[in-house]
Amino acid sequence: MNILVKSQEKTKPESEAARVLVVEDEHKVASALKEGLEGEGYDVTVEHTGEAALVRLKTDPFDVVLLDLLLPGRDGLQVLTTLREQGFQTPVLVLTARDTLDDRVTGLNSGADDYLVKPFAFVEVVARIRALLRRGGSTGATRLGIGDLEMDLVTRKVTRGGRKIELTLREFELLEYLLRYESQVVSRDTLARDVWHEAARTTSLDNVVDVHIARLRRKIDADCPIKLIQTVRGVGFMLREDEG
Amino acid sequence: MLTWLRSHSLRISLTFWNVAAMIVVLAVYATGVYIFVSRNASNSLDTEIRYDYQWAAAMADQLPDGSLRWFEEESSFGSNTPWLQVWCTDDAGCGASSNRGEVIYRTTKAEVDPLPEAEKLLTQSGDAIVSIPAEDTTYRVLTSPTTLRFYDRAGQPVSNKRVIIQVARSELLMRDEMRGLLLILLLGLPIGVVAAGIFGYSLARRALAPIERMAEHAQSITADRLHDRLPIGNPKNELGRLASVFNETLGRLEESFEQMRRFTADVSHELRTPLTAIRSVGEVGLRERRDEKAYRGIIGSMLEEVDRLASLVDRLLRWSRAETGQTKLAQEVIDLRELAEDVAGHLGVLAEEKQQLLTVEQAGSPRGIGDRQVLRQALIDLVDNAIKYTPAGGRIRVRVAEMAAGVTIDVIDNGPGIPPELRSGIFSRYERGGQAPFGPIGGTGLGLSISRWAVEANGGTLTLEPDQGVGSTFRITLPRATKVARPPAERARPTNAA
Repeated sequence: MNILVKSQEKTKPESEAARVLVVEDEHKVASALKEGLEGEGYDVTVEHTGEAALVRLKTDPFDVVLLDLLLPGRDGLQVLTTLREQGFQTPVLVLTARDTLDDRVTGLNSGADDYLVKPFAFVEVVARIRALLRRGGSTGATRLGIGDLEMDLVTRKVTRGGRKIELTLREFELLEYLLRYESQVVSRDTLARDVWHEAARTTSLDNVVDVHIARLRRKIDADCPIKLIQTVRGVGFMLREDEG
Repeated sequence: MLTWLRSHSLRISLTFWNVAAMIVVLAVYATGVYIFVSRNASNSLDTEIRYDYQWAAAMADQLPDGSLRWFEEESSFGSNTPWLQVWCTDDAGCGASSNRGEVIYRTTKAEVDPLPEAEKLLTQSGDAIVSIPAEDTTYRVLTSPTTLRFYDRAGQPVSNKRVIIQVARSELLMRDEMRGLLLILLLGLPIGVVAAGIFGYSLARRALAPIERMAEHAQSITADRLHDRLPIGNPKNELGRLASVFNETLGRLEESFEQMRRFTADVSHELRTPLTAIRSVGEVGLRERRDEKAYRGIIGSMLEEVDRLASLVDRLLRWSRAETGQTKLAQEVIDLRELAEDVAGHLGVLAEEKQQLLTVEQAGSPRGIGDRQVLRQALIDLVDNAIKYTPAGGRIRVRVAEMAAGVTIDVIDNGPGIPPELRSGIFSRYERGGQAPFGPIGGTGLGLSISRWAVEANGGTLTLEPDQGVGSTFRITLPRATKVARPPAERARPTNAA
């Protein structure tokens, strides 16, 4: 197994793109994930059965595995257990339609690094993959910014074009999160979990998020010709300099 | 044996036990009868022998020559003349030629069936009855000395003669009778057992027939015929009780089936709305060529509906998990004011957007017991509803108080209120009060029924307070936390110290 890990490390510098294995039997979902992730700059391989995935993993190094739990033949959980028994260290993001705590516990206990409940938002998948690939590594930056918007994490000062902007605590956290993931779509789910720290997303919470986004927009974008906070309809929000 | 019985029907095993009991009873009874009858027969044989003995003494007559003679009343005995021997004793003359130890008289029977052993009995004292085996039977012999007294015509005693009278009777007759009895008893036993078996079987059949009918009837009750009930014969007996218990079970089953059917219908209705939107938006979008921006709008709109669909499925799952009791609740002390302020802070922005005044009022410092997370969501839903249904510029108050019944959280708004015809159904699934006079209102109708479940699962109540003329008031009542609040784990555990 050590040889495998080493070879994996060796391949990394050669090809810049991280390699993702998608194990999903539903062809539509699999090809959507492939196309979407390739669009995000990943090198994506798709397998439709657990057996094929195991064979593929033995010969081919990957940086992250997306594993559906409900697979024909050998199901995802068995694949995962086998993988971990054989010493594979590759991070695994489990995709499941079963939304119960027990499944989550068994998923994480059997070696999953993270899980997503179907139907998941694609931006959510991207965010999780990014998190898995960057695990442990923190940016440690004290200043964040995009265009003429600047945020000082130490003094908690926010300025746009030199003009100081007063933000509430929640608005500050929201903007900080958007800045950290600049040019990426952030879903309401992600915001509910990471900014509001709520266990479940609800309609009222969505409304609260929307109101905060609206206020942030008023404070940051209202007087400027370039709108930084953009709404991606049906998906989420994004902080970006150029209009998409 | 027992395993064999277990593998057979109740009817068979009942019959088996019935027969077994019958065999035991009959055997004990027959033995008792046999012993009683044989003792009786033996006693009455002895009585007869003693009677014969007395008769023999009375039947003696003295001839003029001093010898003795016996009347033999053939007519009165017929062939059944007793076996009788009279022996002479030494102290009295038995006749000219008679010696001691000589038989001076014997009946025909005694001549026909001589008992050589009888002579030995002469020396025996007392008057015990002795059994002597003979050729084909056993004789019972009574040997006893007696004094015969003779009188003349004037009634004066003439002479006394001492003799030994020996009477005997064969046990043949008694043995025959006993054999007959034994035969009857032995024949009767199997007949009785067979009769008991048949009777027991038919009795078991009759007793179990209602159960069989019940089983047949129950078998015919399927999911489509759940309204059907078992007939209750006599509600006081065991079968009647069984039937009524079964009917109660059927009732509950029917109710939950009905609930499920309604649920499925409601859910498919709820799911259809976003699905229809997705389909029509997509179809219409494809009808003509558009620019990229328009397509983006269409796809975005479809995704919004997908989002709605996903959150609906999420809610349904949560609701069904709650309904089936899969959600485990914590028991913790909740500071209601703190909870109300948390919720007000959380939703404050929504009220602000509508220029509504959202305030928390407090009377005392009420502390309740329950699962904070679940109750918080219920309160969020209530306040969110109030914000939605109260027009802009309205006022929403969250009031926490301590009451006699427990601790309460009131959500009071000054909106349009709930029309009387909707008040009763407000907590049932999929009903929404105040249908949109202020434009379309999002969310599904599950809200209030989930909130009610959440509160009730925590041992509280969620009620709609009587109409005050303006707005509406929802009240959550929770059990009060005791003054000395112990950690929840402590309370859940059974205490050893009494």
